[in-house]
Amino acid sequence: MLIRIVGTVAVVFVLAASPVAAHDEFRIVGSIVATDSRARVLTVRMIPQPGDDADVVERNVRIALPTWVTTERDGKPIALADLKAGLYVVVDATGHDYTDLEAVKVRIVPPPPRR
Amino acid sequence: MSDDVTRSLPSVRRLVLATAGACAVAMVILVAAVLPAEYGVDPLGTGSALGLLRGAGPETPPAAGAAGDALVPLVRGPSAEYGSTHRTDTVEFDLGPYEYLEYKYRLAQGAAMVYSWQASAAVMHDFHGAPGDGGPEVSIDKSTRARGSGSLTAPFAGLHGWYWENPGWTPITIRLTSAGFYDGALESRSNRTQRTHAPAPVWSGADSPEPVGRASGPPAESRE
Repeated sequence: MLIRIVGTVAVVFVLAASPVAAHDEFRIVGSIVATDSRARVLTVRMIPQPGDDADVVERNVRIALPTWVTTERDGKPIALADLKAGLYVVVDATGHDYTDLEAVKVRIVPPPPRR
Repeated sequence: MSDDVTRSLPSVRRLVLATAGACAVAMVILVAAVLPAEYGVDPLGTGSALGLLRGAGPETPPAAGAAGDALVPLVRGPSAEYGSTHRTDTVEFDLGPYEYLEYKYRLAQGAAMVYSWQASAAVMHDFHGAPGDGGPEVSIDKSTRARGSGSLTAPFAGLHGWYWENPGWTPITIRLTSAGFYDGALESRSNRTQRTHAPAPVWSGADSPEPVGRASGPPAESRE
């Protein structure tokens, strides 16, 4: 019994520790496609940056909005409800890859100049 | 049936032992896996063996190699002497919309450098240092501007340099020139790419340059 409990706890800790190895910082620049305030998820159409990896293409990225996320516009805090589709944002997030992102800070920025 | 249930429950002693065992295992995993992965602290070497250090913190610039202690200044009053020549570095960076990058040199405590940088438009800028022992970063100057020139005497051993962020949609180019007693630089970008730079020494010990005025060829005034 003792060995079983210790083994179970050890497995839980190992499983909990492994994801942190790939904990990374991401910056996503793009426009909001949708916000789901109940599920606290923001969907952003990201704009690839020069120098990004080849696998970074214009696509929709779903970003979780934890309770501690900072949201701002012109340096002033705003409510989650102010994140509306069509607005341009810069999102600093952490995660394993583009399918597993959690926002740390969301900034509403002006739209890009028309070309 | 209740006797069966009672019999199957572990005793207090067993529970205490199990808890102590679990804590011991947790401590081992904490030191062997969590600390290397999350904080880059790797006392047992398991982090590097298991590849857990990749996401833990910044990569370090190239090792000092032969320079090593030669880049530690020997302070004599207002001057400082070094066991090796200084290095020079000129780099140019492109910053896409809202992109940021950090460019930092590794300097020994008390080591000096001079620098000038210029951007094609104003950038968010933070000149700062990160102690080599993993302590918190220390900001020296934070502002939004398009150029900077100055000198630094490193207040502690570690990585010293700039954070530049493009505050808008128009791409920006930054050009930096520096000279100093550093042995390497690290470039980190918001797209999570990292590049090490190895600035060249002005000359290596054996091939020091000709003294001024004794160079081969005609004097400057007669050159046409």
